[in-house]
Amino acid sequence: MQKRVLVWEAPVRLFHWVAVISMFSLAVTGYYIGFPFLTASGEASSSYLMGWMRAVHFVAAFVLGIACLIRLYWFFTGNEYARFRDWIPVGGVRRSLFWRQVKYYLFLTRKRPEVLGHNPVAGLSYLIVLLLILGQGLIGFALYAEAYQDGFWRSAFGWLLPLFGNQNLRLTHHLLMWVFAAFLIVHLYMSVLAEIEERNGTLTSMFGGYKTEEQPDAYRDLAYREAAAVGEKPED
Amino acid sequence: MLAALERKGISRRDFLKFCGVIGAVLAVPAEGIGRIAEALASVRRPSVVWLEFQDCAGCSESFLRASRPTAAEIVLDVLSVDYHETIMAAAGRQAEEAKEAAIKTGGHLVIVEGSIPTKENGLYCCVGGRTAMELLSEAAKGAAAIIAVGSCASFGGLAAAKPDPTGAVGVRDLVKGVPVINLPGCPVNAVNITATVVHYLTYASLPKLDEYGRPLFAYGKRVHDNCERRAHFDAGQFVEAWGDEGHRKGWCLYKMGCKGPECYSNCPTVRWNEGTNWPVGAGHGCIGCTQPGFWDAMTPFYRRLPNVPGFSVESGADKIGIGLAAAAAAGVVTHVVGTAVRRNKAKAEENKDNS
Repeated sequence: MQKRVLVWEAPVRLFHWVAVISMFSLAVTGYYIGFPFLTASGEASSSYLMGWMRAVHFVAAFVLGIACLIRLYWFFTGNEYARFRDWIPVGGVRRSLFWRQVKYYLFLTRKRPEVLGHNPVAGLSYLIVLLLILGQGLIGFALYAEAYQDGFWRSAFGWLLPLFGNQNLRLTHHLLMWVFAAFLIVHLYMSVLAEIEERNGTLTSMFGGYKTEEQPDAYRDLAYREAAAVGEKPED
Repeated sequence: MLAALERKGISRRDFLKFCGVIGAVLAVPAEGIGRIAEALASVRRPSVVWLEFQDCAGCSESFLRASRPTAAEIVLDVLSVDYHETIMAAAGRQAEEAKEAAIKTGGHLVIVEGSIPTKENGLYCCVGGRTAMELLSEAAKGAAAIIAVGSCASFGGLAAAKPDPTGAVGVRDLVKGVPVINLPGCPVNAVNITATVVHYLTYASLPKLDEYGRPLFAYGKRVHDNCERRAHFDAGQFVEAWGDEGHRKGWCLYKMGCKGPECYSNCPTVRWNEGTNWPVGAGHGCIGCTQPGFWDAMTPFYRRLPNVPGFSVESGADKIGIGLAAAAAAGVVTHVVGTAVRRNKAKAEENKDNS
């Protein structure tokens, strides 16, 4: 008996793709800002290459920042798969699932745990990435504030400049971009692997939102049974 | 005051010109210039004690080359510089007595040049057998304000760069209870000293400061924001090597490690040596000399980014980043192989069960 379940609601899916597009633009334009690999010819008045790179970088930063704020709001109002509980492995059930997922990834067990929402390892990695995005944004807006003596940007983010020094902020901003690149590689592979192994529509679910489930609530029953089997007290 | 200037051959017109220049540096409205002229004409000579600690006298040199002789003269006439080791005629006991008299009177200005060593109770810098720390705290007592000129007096400067053998610090780290204004730079630009002093004489207060204690009129904008090569930055035209076509055309020095985008100073507008030129105008990137700890923070001078701690000089941030991404990709490939092996095993077992 197969059942289609709406796992990812529209705001979650939208956030995902807005993040993809904005982060990609930020990485490309940011790399150019750090290392301008193209040179414009002719008179300075006839081109605006670095200007456009910076403009796109700033706009994408604003878009990603606003998207993150909306996603944070959705942590408290979305369905069960959109909430913080799905990202932070707390409680016996999630914890035992987390370790079994890690063992599965490390070839220590053959069976892939069945989870309909985020598997706990993926959820934790997304939490880390979201925190890194917020950190990257904090640094980015601090560097953005360098152009102002006072006003909103300077007072909201300028305090980071004397705290760490602008060169260290730049270096960190640069290195974090590569951390996102590394995450992207692993993230793409893991989602394709999940698509192949789970066969319940992992990849298409990020567009349509639905996954198929063998039977209703199997995940929860299974989780309880498995948690009981390893001698842990299930929560919730 | 004006009579004294007349005797020196400085006309009222020249005097007002100078007031106009300083007014422009301070960014006061036009009516403020009259106020500056009034204040300077009627000023009572405040006494100045200029202390030199771990310095190279470069800031003194810079001050003595104040762009208009009239400016230096006005300030030197308006101020009574009672102690300045490099330029004073007196020596030994007489010199020290002059300083003591000035400090005893109180209400004086202290100008500090050079950093103050704090290790071994400050014995790395002694004048007349007394440590810089002692001399500074003594001079600061009853002072109206302290002006730290140059990056050394402001933040510790060169002596404080790693490995900092003397434990060098700036004035603000030691003096409490007296307003301290930082005028960093290596050296300080004389016009900023003059303008700060004139501001103090005109308004009897110190100008508005930023988080590093630097006056906003001089250090409120980045070099990058007022740079004459900014158009080339925005256009995407960069010098790639010394003497290449872009360099000859005066393109942006960003890729040559220019620190203009992270350095606050009015160099592009006031320039140096009677407004002749300034580093970037001469074709060399800014080295960020007005920023705290610039010898450590702004190096390497010819690269955009600092070295990544714990890695060799050759591996920049991008090389390390690409290495990280490559490691992730290698991990993925390993996992693909592992998954294939696992699947084959599972298949083999299935076949065994079925047979």
